Order: sequence, then structure tokens, then C-alpha cells
Amino acid sequence: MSNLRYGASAALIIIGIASTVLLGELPGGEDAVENFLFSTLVFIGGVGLFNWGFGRFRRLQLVRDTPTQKIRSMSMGTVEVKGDAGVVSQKFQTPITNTDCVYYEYKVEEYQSDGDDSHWETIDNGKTSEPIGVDDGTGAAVVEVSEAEIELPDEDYQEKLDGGEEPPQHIQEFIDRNENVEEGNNEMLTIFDNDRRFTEYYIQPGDHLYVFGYAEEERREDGTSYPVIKEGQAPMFYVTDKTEEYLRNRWGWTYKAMLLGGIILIPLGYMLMAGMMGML
Amino acid sequence: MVEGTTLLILLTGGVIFFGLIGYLVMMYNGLVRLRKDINEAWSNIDVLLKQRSDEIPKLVDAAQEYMDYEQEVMNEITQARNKAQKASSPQAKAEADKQMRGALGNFFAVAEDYPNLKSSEQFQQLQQRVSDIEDQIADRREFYNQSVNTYNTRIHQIPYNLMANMMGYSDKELFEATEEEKQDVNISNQFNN
Repeated sequence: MSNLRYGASAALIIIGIASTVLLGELPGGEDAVENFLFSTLVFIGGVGLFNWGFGRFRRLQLVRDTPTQKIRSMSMGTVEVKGDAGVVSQKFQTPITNTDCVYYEYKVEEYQSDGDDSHWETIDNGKTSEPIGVDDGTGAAVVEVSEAEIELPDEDYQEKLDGGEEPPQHIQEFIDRNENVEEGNNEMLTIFDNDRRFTEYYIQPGDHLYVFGYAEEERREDGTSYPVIKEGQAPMFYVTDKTEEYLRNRWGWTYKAMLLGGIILIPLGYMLMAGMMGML
Repeated sequence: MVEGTTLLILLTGGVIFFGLIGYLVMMYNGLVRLRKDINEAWSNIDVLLKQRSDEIPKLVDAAQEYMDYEQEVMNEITQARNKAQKASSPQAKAEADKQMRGALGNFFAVAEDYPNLKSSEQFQQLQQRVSDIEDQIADRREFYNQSVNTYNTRIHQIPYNLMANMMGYSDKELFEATEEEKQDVNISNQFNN
């Protein structure tokens, strides 16, 4: 279904742009191309929003229609489980604040200003990829987070340093250390010219987990088996520290907003393109 | 050259039209998936009911030597097994399941009077195995019934009811014994040794 949706969106974009280019004529002028590209972006953005909206609706359907299973009797296949996070192979310490956790993500951003264009740019980031455990009181399962879409909406730690400000000790140590990171570059100076922002998201042992994925049994060397939740053939593989109610509320209004945005931007974008090409 | 207003109306109408088509497709797929999930949930219960049924002869064999004079209890459990094997619909299987749980509860209660049997390693393993299967059946029964409730509610909600009618979808049975059967023996006291 996702492939069909993406295919239809791509076809719509191609047909939309091609129709204006083939049927119209771009007038002369310095800003003509720029304006046409802007209107194209509005059109593409509208199609993207529309596509995304249907994607969110599909997720809402999956979460809403799939009852939660107990891990002790979990059947192999698409599952939804809720429980507490636990350690599988090793505990970690977050790189900036040294907080004990089973999973973390971090990023370092720098505020870059160039005339009218100012924004936070990520200059370093990383996350763990080791499996974590989920225990719902009836049993425990391993979750292969490296394959999952993990959403931790609320940052657990964030600190902003102004340009020229000396960093506190834990940030200085992070800068000096910066190991056990899966991805990212390290281009930081001890005293920064620009404002810097340090953020961490993490899952600690005992934190609530919502997991939607594909359950399989894996065998140890001694012949015993244990349940693993991975991507497999599930329509989505999603892990978050939020509740199911939170997800249903959020996706419930976002899909409607995205679809509405698409309904507005697609005709508007096309009208702008057509107008730029002198078709109106 | 096309008049702007006409084009805008046509485009907006076209987007809404294709959006509706997409929504209908997702509604259809959603109903199909709900139905498929119920079938899968049912298969997962059935597997456990069969596993429990397979353990019964081993239990009876293990206990036979010690509980020679408890023919009534032995017969009750064997009859419950036979009934479970013949049941086909969810309600029939639910009733057979309830009878089986009652028979097992009585069986283990009577086994308490035979310390030699209770201390038998084979019997202890079988008892634990049956207890584990019972827990899993209870969990999957709950899951199955939640799936059925979701489906039964959805096919009666607007606008899903229109599509469900076109697809010939009707209510599914819960895995639940009838009210009369529910007034029977209190199993928990007997089974939780």
C-alpha cells in the first residue's frame, strides 16, 4: 500500500509539472525561473503533505485496531506490546550527562546566521543500536531497536551555550571523550564562536515502552528460545516512550491537518505554476 | 487559456475526489485486515487448545496408577477432551473449554489427596505445562475477543457499515461460554494449587 501511495504521488508530481512545462511558456525576466521553482515547491509540498496524511491515517488504523498482547502468550507475527524498558546486553551512559540508560540519541547544534537566513544546524549526532528489553510483567522480549523507528518526542536534556561562553565541565568532558557513538562527526572547538545547543533523548531501565513490530522466536546455543520483536513483515516497526492514547490523539489530528494542507496546497501550487507559465 | 476560477475548482475537486478514493481503499483494507487478524487470533487459540488436549492423555496415564478408584474424575476429564475435539464454532469451543477447565480443576483437586502422585516429577511437569497452557489460552482468548469486539463495532459504524454491507461482512462470534455455562463451577479455587 505504501508503494502504491508513493507511486501515485510521484506520478502526480511528474504529470503536474510536465503539463505546465509542456503546455505553457515561461516568460522572460530575472525572477521567472525562481518564481516557477517556488510554485513547484508549493505543489510538491502539497502532494507530500497529502501522501504523509494518508500515511499517518494508516498508522492510526494499525494502532487503533491492534489489541495489545501479553508477552508470555505473544503469537509470532505483527504484535503490539507495552511494558517497561530493560537491559539486554549492556547498559549505557549518555555521552553528555552520563545518565544510565538502555538507549540514547544525542545531537549538537550550532546556530548559524547568514544575513536573513538563521537556523540551527546539526554538527554532531549519534545513537545506540544495541537491542533493548521490554517486560510487561508476564514476560520479556528483545527489541531490535537498530531496525526500528524510535520516537522520543520530549528531550530529556537540553543545554544551550552562548557563543564565547565556556562550557560546563560535563560538556567539556563530552567534547574530549566522544566515544561509543555510532554516527556523527566531531568538529567542535572548546570555546565556540556561535551559540551551541546540546540535546539528549534516552530510555532508562523501567521507562514505559510502546512497541509495534513483528515478533519471532530466536534460538540460543543451548536450544532454548526467546521472543524478539523486529521489523520483519510488520506494516511498521515503531518504538516510543509515549502511551497509545497519546499516539492516537496526535496522529488523529495530524492526518486530518496534513490532508487538509494537501487539499489546499496542491491546487494552489498548480495554479501558481500555471500562472507562471502563462496558462491562466 | 483556462479561466483561473474554473481551473481552481476543477483541481480542488479532483484532489478531493482522489482523496476520497484513497480513503475508501484504506477503509476496505482496514476491514480486510481486521477480519484477517481475527482469523489469525483464532488459529493461535486453536493451537493451544490442541496442545492442551494432547497433554490430557499423558496426565491421565501418569495419574492412573495412583488414582485407580477415581474413575469419575478420570471420565470427566476424558469426556471434556472428547467434547473439545468435536467442537468447531467459537462458542462451542468456548463451552468445551469451560468444561475442560472445570474437569482439570476437579482433577488437580483430587490429586491433592495422593501425595505419591503429587511428588512424582513427571506429574509435576505435566501439571506445570497444563497450567502454562491455561494462562496462554486465557491471554489469547482475551486478545481474540478484543479483536472481535473491534471488528463488530467497526462494521456497524458509519461509514464503515456501508462498505461492510457491500462486502457481506457480519458479526463474528466471541470466544465466550453462554450465560448458563458461566453460572457453573468456580474454577479459580480448584485450579490454583
